[in-house]
Amino acid sequence: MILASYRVWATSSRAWLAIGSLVSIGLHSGCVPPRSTPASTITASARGPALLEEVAPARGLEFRHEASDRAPLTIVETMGSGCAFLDYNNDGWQDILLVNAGQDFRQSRQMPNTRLFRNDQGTFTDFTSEAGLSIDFYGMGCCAGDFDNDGWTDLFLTGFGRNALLRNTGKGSFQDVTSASGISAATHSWGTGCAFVDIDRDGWLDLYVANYIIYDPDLPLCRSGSVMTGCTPNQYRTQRNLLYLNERGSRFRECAESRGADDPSGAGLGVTVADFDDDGWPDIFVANDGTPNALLHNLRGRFRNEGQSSGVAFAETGAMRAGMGCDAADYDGDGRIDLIITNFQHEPNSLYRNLGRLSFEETTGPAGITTPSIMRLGFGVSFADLDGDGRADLYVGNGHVFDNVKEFDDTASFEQTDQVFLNVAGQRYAEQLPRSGAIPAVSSVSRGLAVGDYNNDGAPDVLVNSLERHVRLLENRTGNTGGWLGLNLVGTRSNRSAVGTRVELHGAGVMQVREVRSGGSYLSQSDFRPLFRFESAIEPAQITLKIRWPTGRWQSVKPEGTGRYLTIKEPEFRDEE
Amino acid sequence: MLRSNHRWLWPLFGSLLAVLVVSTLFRVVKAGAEARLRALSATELEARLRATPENSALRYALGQAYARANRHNDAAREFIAVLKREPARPDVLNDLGASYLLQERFYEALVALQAAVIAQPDYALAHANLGRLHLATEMPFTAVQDLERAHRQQPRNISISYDLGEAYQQTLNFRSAERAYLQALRLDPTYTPARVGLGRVLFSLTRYDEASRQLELALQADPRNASALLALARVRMEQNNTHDGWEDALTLLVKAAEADSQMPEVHYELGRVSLRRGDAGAAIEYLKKALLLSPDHPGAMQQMGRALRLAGRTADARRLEAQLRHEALRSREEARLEERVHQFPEDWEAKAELCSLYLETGKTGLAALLLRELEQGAPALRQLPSLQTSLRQQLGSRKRSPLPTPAQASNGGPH
Repeated sequence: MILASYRVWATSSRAWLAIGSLVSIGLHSGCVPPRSTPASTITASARGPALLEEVAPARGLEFRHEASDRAPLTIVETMGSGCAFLDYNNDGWQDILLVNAGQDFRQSRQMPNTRLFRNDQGTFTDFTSEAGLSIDFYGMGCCAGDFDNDGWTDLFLTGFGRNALLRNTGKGSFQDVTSASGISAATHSWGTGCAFVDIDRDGWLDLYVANYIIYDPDLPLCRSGSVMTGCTPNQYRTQRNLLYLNERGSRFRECAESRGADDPSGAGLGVTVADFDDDGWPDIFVANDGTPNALLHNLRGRFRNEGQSSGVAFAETGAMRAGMGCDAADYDGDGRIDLIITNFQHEPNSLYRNLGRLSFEETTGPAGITTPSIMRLGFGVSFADLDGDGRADLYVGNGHVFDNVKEFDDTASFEQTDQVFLNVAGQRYAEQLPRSGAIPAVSSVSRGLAVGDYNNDGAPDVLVNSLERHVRLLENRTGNTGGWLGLNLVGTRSNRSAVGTRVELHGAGVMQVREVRSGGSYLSQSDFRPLFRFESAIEPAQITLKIRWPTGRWQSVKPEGTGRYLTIKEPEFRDEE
Repeated sequence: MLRSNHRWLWPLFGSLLAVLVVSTLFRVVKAGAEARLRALSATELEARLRATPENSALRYALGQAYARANRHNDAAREFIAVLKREPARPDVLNDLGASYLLQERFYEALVALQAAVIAQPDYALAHANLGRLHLATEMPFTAVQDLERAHRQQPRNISISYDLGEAYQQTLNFRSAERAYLQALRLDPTYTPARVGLGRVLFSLTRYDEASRQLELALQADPRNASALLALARVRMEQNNTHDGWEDALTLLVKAAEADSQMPEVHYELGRVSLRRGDAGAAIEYLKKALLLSPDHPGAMQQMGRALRLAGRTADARRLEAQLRHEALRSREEARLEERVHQFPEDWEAKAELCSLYLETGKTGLAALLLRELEQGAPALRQLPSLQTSLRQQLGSRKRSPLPTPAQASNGGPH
């Protein structure tokens, strides 16, 4: 029979190519020089003390995300929502905002269900009504920043159909100023990640908003074999992103296209703003889902997409990964801001090491991220020093997008466990498995994720908003044997939130770098306050803080003590400084 | 007692037995005759056929001889000639479909194979070939269904089990793929392609030690198996992502390139390893080869961009990066339109757009498949003439055997 000749065909290079492109997803990683961290030091520890423990119900945080009452979920319903740590009433305690989707995204209005919880010294009270936060939209993301420099943190919320700018009145409530401020009320938009960022360093926070795709109601579900499920973004056209220029706190003017920041071919989700080339001008990274990621290089207020030339647009394989969430931090201690991106199942998350001059190398493989992440679908992600050794660890929230994935993928499940990766000597990451007792063994469908010190104990806690599930607040239980120092930065000539400030802590032969950021992770907002933790005890006299304010001015500070949050106000620099 | 009561049954049993013996004998004789014909060369069969041009068995054997010699165009011509006399022969339809498939003439292959399974619904090989056709036309989930059907009918067919494993891999059902390869290996533990497939799927499941073991076993049986060498190199890089691991991988990849210099993936990996070792010059040479063999290889383009930058050739790198971006966005648009035309088969504009994209990317078979649908469904579509011209240009001087017309196709096949 002719069948025999098929063997030749089936094992030909063409067939291998097709398979190879799938198989190869697990191995591509960057070209860092070999490092000799012995494997034995990075295995998960035996059952030991808890790193993070669930405390949401005990702390009065009662919230359940809602998205739909149908199955299978469409792409709109499955993307979930973000969450935020912010101090909206300036009492020094991080309050919590939990964005919610709604009952039916096809309707233009939902029963308002996004919630604001006031933090009363470690316990939470639902303060939504009192804060006037009744937004009747299908909510997606959030970011915070004091856009009018009145000293009170404002909010921007993104949603399917419309976005909302909420001005903090300073009297415990928010006022919807969307239309009055010139923010687009276009109902066809699908806003996702956002960030306040002073792109032109004029002291006023501008606003960057990523848009996802143009949803086609005629195409609610797609096929995966014989199974109908939610469509992937590849089945829809993309939307351009928006950049609103702040006109001295009163109005915003959209200028993404003219400033080179609209990234029209990207299906934007996570947005992380960081000064990747350390030139004092904030750059914008957008994690694009199934399209090339964008790295918008800030050229004094105008942008050029350097995603490809910098090496972060594509995977090493040249594949467009499904970028979801993203975060930036200096994980290897060289002072440069590195990047992590969460991706789809069967793709590893992407870790990029910053080589300087806006050039990155993918170090996912050498850093030990590939294997543990390839069988998960990541959304929210955050760098944070979870174990108190002064290095940036990682928390990754996982959960599939297809609620019926088991019907067509025998290795995937809708609910997945989150992951904690501890930083080993700035070189590799070691996954902490739930069976080690380090983190709760909870399967969920994580989406929005934020990090903040809700109980002001100097250890970062984790907030996770899961699709159609209860919120989780994971309290950090590592203690602070070596001490810590937190900063509450207040801009004067710079924006009041001090968003965009870079802080370097020098002391006892180490340097830690933090940046104050709006937005980040997956459609979420983390604690503004830079937090430094020390592996071993350090005298305050040994510490020097070097602060570069968003205006570009440097300030040097010797802290008087540690183990607390120190408020530092931007000084009035003399002109020659 | 019973015997005497049912004595009347004996003649019936006798008759049945006689029919069985006769039919078995007939099958044996027929198989023997077919085997004898298969043993003849194409030249011998041509000579015999000149003497008896009406002999269908001889013509069918000639078609098969051509197919074995990779003369698929000639084979198809002979199969069609047989089908003109015996239009519902599933075996001939299957072989015709297979010939078309090997020529990447997907539309004709689909028509022939569908006719084969209509003529004989339990025809495992035709279902399997339909599966392969769907793999080739990037419909892996449909391929899985076809191959599962074939597998149910012939659970002991090694190649069907193997192909099922390949299809499961493409749909990312790695555990099912593992089971399929293991089934093939249970039937024949020396079947190297299944061993390599198993190694690859274990790699995808991040079970590196097991993957390594399987690939080493495959290489014991066939030390120059390029696919096994390539897969093992990838495992080594992941198991030991250090200088030593890269050196190991490099040795394996060089062997793979010696064994089969036409695999773009091997040159791509050689380029990647060279970059890790900091040798941009060597990387550029390897990646050039990869791109020569597979001009749209995204990984090779991406790595080449990096290598060129490292070599200070920034302008070249930018050009290549722009091309990669263009290709990537085009493939995304292809995926969008494919879903669109699947869900809305009457969206002729989307079909024309997709056809045009296929032509741009040289997917001639897929373009032809769509063009047929457009010709049938929307003959007045304004884009049709230009698409037809483009397709004709791409097919160029490619010699074609008589094609089934759309009318024949809609009647269920070329017979």
